[in-house]
Amino acid sequence: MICCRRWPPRLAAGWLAALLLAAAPAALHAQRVEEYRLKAAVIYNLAKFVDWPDEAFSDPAAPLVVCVLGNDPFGAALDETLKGHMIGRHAAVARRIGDVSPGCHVLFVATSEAKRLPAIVERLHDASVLTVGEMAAFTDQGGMIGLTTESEHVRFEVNLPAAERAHLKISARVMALAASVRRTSEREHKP
Amino acid sequence: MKQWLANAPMRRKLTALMAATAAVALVLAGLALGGYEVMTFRRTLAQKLTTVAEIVGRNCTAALAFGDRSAARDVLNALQAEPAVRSGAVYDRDGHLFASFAVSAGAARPSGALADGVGTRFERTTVIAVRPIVLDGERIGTVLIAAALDELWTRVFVFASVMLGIVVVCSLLAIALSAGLQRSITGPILDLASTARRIASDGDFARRAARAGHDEVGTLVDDFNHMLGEIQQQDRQLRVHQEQLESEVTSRTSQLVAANDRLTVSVRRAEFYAEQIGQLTAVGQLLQSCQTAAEVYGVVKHAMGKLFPSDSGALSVLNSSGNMLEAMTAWGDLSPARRVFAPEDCWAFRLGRPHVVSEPGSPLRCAHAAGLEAATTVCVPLTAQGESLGVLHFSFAATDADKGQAAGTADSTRGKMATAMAEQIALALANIRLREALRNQSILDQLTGLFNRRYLEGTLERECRRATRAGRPLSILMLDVDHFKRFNDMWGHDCGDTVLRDLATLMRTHFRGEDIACRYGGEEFVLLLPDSPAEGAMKRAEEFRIAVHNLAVQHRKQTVGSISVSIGVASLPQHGTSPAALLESADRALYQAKHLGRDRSICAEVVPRLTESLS
Repeated sequence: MICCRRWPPRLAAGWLAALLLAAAPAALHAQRVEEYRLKAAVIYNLAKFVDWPDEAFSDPAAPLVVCVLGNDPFGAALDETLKGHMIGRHAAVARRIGDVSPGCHVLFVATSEAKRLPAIVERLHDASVLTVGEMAAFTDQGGMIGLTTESEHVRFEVNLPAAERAHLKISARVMALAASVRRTSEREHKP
Repeated sequence: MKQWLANAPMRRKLTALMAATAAVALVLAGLALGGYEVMTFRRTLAQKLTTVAEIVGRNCTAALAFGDRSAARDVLNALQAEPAVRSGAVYDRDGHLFASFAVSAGAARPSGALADGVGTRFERTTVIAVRPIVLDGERIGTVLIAAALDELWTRVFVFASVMLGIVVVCSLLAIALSAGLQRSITGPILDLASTARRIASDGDFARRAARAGHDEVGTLVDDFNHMLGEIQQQDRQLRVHQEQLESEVTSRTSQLVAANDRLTVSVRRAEFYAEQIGQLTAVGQLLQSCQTAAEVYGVVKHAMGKLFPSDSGALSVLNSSGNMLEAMTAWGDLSPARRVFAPEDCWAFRLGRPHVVSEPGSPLRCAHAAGLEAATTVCVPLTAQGESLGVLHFSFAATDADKGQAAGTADSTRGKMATAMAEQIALALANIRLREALRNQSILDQLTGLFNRRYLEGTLERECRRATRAGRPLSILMLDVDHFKRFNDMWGHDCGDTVLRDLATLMRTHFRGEDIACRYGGEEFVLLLPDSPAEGAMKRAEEFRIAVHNLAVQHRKQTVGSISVSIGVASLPQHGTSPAALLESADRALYQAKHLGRDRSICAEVVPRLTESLS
């Protein structure tokens, strides 16, 4: 009832119902589509609770770029979620990349790039890029936000030191919602 | 209330007014303060609640954004720390309930409709704050928090209680204070009032009210005192006038009393006079109706006894020869020694006016008064029409009525009465004498009321001359009752008189108005018929003779026996030209009628003129 509908839970419920009623392969596909729609929404919402340093943008009106590295699992969901929406004062834009490149503010590391992850983290170093992944132990390997799925609910883990190193401020309100928050660096954790 | 305000003492009124003013002011101030307090509290509460709602909204932003209901619930549960908050709720952008919190199961949960508005809303027992949840300039939901207003009402109650206490205490204080303070205002006025009351009760206008200050009451006291001064002065003048008036009234009253006494005396005297005048009038009427002198003497004796009850006196009358006075009657205790005396023996008779002697043994006392001596003797001559008739003599005893006046003087009451009586008696006596003289000279016959013989003679002479001069006839009838002596012998003298009277009455009715009927003497009558010739006279004589037969004379309720008359008729000139000759002719004719057997009319024989002229 306020603004236009972009993330209607009813729609999700409808989808779920459709999936349950549909045939197994079709249902499985539909489940995946819904999962990534939710994940796209989480990424979009997360971006709203993260503060980038001013230097991260070439100018105040520059778009906030969400990059997908590796095999894109979202399909059209990400573009649909972001299209026409603002994050802060910046328009949200999705971009697919093959390699780590500058100009990204959010970098979704697809599961296909799991082996390259430490390299990617190393590449980025302290660049103000919010790294998001859905592979296992993403935050343990230096990723900042790890998305997990728990009984159809998308949850996330936060690697706070990694974010701090990249000069990103993640709102405490988000962290209160996180499944887990890593507050020390992975090196200290490492035996 | 109005009645109380009008009648209550000033002290109580002032105190009550002050206390009421203080109470009203306090209540108004309390109400204003209370209102302000309530408003401030409400505003504060609203602000606080809005702040809480804002915080909750902010804290729920992420939870709402990520659809984390438990996180939102956790945030809402933090509201437990705020005791006033009863419930809270978060709605998503579609208005669906996202998370809620309530202190108790019964606590009202804000309805979804309320989420429409933004701001604070006060209901009877709750206040509701509604805030939008905004993320990145986009409204993603609404937070709604309801708090109980118990504290507000508790505050209001406490405030009202405290205020009531303050009002009561302050009113009491105001009463106590005003009771003391009003004395400065009412004191002088009450003093003035008590002074006025004292003056009203004892009338002492010399009192003055004491002045306390120079305010309005002081001016009032000054004016009051000034007024008192004027009243005092006027009162003094009034008293002086009153005293003057009283003395004047006293003197006027005494004058009035004196005048009244005089008037009373006058009235009494007037009444006395009126009574005497009445008696005198009555006596006068009696005297004037007396027929004879003897009656006069009787009346005088009786009247004097009544008019002069304490006095004596006598009435002496001059005899017919005029050389002696004889006492005809006397009254009172004393009686005259001499009944007969010479006119010279009385001073009054000699002087022709009342003679009064008051001194005892005076030589001027009349000689005839011997035996009648008293305090005063009075002789009054009886005079009427210039003729002295006698002397009225009085011996007045000294009485109270004559005190203060010259006792027994002719001017005194009794003197005036005596004079008046003398006049009345003299008049009565003169009247009787005149009546007797007149009777002697009368033209009427006393018994029958017809003309008498003397009148007939005069009239006949006159009528004869007139008839002769005019050449007119004249006849006379001479009439005699037949056997008249028999009536007297059989029935008495009265019967003869009755017969004569009835006969006279018949004559008067039978003959004309110009005919003259006379009683010639005894039982003889003469009728003079002017302008009647012998034949007419004869005819009328016969008619009358017949009429007499029908006469039924009643005497002592008996009818007297038959009456008849004999009539002789004579006419001028054939039976005589002089009255004497006519009467003689008629008499002859009557004699002839008697001779022929009575109860008839006979005309006289013609007398030759020559013979008549010779005789």
